[in-house]
Amino acid sequence: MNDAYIIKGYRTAVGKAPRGFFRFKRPDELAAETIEFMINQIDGFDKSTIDDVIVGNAMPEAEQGLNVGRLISLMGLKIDDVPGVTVNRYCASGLETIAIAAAKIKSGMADCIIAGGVESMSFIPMGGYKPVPGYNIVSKGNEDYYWGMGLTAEQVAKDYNIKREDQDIFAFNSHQKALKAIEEDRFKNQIVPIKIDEIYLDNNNKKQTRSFNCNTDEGPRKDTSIEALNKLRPVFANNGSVTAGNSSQMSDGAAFLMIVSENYLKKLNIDPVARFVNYSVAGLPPKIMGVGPVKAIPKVLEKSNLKLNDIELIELNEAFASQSLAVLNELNINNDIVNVNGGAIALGHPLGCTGAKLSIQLIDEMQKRNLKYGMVTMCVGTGQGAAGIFEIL
Amino acid sequence: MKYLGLDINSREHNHISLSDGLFFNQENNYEELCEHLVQHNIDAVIIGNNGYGSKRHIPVIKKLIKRLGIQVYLIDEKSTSVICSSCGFRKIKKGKFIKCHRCKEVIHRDTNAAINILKRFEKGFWGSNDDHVLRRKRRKFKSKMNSINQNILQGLNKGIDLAEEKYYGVVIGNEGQHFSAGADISMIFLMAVEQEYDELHYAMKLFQDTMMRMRYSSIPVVAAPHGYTFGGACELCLHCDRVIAYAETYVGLVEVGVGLIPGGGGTKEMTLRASDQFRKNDVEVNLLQEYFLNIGMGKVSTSGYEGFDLNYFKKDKDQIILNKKNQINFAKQTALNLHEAGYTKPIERTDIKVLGQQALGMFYVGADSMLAGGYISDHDKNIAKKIANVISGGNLSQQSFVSEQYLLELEREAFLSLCGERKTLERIQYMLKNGKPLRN
Repeated sequence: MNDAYIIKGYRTAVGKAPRGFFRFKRPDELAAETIEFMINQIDGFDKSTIDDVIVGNAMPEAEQGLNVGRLISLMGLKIDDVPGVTVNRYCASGLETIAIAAAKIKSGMADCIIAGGVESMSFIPMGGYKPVPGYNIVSKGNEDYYWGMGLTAEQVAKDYNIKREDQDIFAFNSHQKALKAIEEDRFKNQIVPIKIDEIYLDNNNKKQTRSFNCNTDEGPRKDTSIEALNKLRPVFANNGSVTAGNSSQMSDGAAFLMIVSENYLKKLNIDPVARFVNYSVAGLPPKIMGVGPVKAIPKVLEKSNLKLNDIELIELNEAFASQSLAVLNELNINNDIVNVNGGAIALGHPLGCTGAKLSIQLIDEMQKRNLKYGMVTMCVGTGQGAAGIFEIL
Repeated sequence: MKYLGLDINSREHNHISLSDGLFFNQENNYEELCEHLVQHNIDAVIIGNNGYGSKRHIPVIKKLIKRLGIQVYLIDEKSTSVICSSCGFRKIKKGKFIKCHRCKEVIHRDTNAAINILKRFEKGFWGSNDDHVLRRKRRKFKSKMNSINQNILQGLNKGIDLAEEKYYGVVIGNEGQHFSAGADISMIFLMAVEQEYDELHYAMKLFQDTMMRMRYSSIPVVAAPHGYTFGGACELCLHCDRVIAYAETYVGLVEVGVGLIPGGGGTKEMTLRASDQFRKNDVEVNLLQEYFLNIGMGKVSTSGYEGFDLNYFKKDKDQIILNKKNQINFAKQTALNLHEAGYTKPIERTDIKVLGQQALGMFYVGADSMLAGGYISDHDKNIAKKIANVISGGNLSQQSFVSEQYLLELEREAFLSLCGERKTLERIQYMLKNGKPLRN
């Protein structure tokens, strides 16, 4: 059987939503510019040999609606030959696209695929513009299928006895790690600088143009402290423990990787960066979707004949501090190898993009540290968990 | 039609003065009065009613005149004797005979009053008519905080019947501290506790029918709310053709506080108003949600102006007035204007767009999320579900157009089912006892 190799991967800096630097940047443009940048990094690359563009997106509507994958393939590659598809597994969409691409390559259906995700939470609200829960499901007492994610985080905190103090400390550490990483320029190789031009009316109602470069993650806060986090009020439940400070941020961003087969590698004459080993998703009650990785991680380890000890670096998506702590405690994961450069609480969580973004961060960091196996894992809305394993070559 | 004004002077042996200048005293035993009325083919007599001095004699005279087959109307005679009957000048010297400073006319005080009474009636001072209704509200029944009970509803019906016959419109207002704190929950509580559901059903039907009667009458109905305008009183305002609200008005559908839903057409009206706002290709559920939350959270406006934001008042129709003294007068003027503009009875609506299961699912999830977040209680969720059921027109599998009566039926059903709940009764009892809502 073929193997799927990752040769390139780039992400945009992650902007805050809804008032960050990407607030007026359309998600399809963001994605297209990322892909364009990635293609330009490979000398003499023939764009028409790409088989497919797979785009993960958690809220595919409005600006990112209408098969946005195909629109991105047209806009990013500037040729008609390459098709595009949109994939949705909420927060795992980005990772799912990599898995689909790998599966296609392994089975011989394709040789070169661009996979990744894009999300603009500035444009599209959480849950979309028109949530319409099914009456027949809901009237039978299954309202939790449609619960907001914050409520599930509260439920996890309650069920797994995660204290507010621990959550705040976890959130604080995430910010510190992220700030340190940015200071040390650890994300520099991954980030595509995006130039934004804005036309606006100034105070005198005159048209003005301003342009700026976005190449640093906007999320981490220098001014935060445990005391400040302690003071925040719970936002999802009365007397709850989940606050805006210990939840992931709403963000805008895009991330794409190029995944190719062995034959294609030879043709291109280029060294691969990593191999995609395996990927698993698992289901669990929607009420406690936060602990999804607890089911997904053992599943993927078993399939790839590895043990948890073999994994040297983990990117666990910090949807909520409560959920992350529950997963770490349940699986007894070594805290030192998890989110070494900060997580979504500090860096942001652009839903559909996150899977691809974390994969890029993981591969880059493992290369720097000379490690072999790494894992990207996250909880997924409506009671799912996902985990994927990468091997650095 | 030939009318005659009649003034009773209680200070002078109940002398009777007519607007055509004749006097009768009590010794005549009203026989001459009766003869006079018959001779001149009078169709109706308007009696000035000041509410205290002539209280004893009005029923007697009324009875006598009615026996002759002549209609009798009572009308507020306030300040009829201090206005000149020929020029309307206000300050005229007091005394038996009065002389107007402007037109220099000399006239007997009581005749002047009788003419003014007649004029007031002919001019269409229906205000007197609604005062008649409201006086009953204030004095006769003395209900707490002007709460609306069956007698007031019957009074309203009677007032509208009367106005349709004789007047140009109806103004509903009062001069108490507050307009009204809503329907009389003590009655509902008693009926619910004794499990007299048929009577309760009848009472609710009467309430709804009265509200519908106000909307679908051939005369304009104008409400003049001020101060507390809660629950049933808010529903009353929702059904008026115009609302002239005082700036200091606290309006809201607060029935959830006592474990009920607005049962007098309030929920129906919110559905109807939401339906009117729907535009093509809109996400209707989001809009409907606003109206749902008005009821579900018992939102009360902090001023008359906020009433517009909460959709209790209609932006293009209703008005806010800052001068409370002028409020009723302005309301009367509004009713007159409506009449002069050619007011006709509206046609009953059958084109209310309800969203069915599409909206119901979302409201169920919303209520459950609030419960899971600890913001509301189990019973609140239960009530929210009932409101959702009415406001989305039941569990219809598609968007449909329904009539008002259909929604009113759903509303009654939900109201009655909640009256059978123990927690609702506890809430009503607590409210009656402590004047504060209970969270259970």
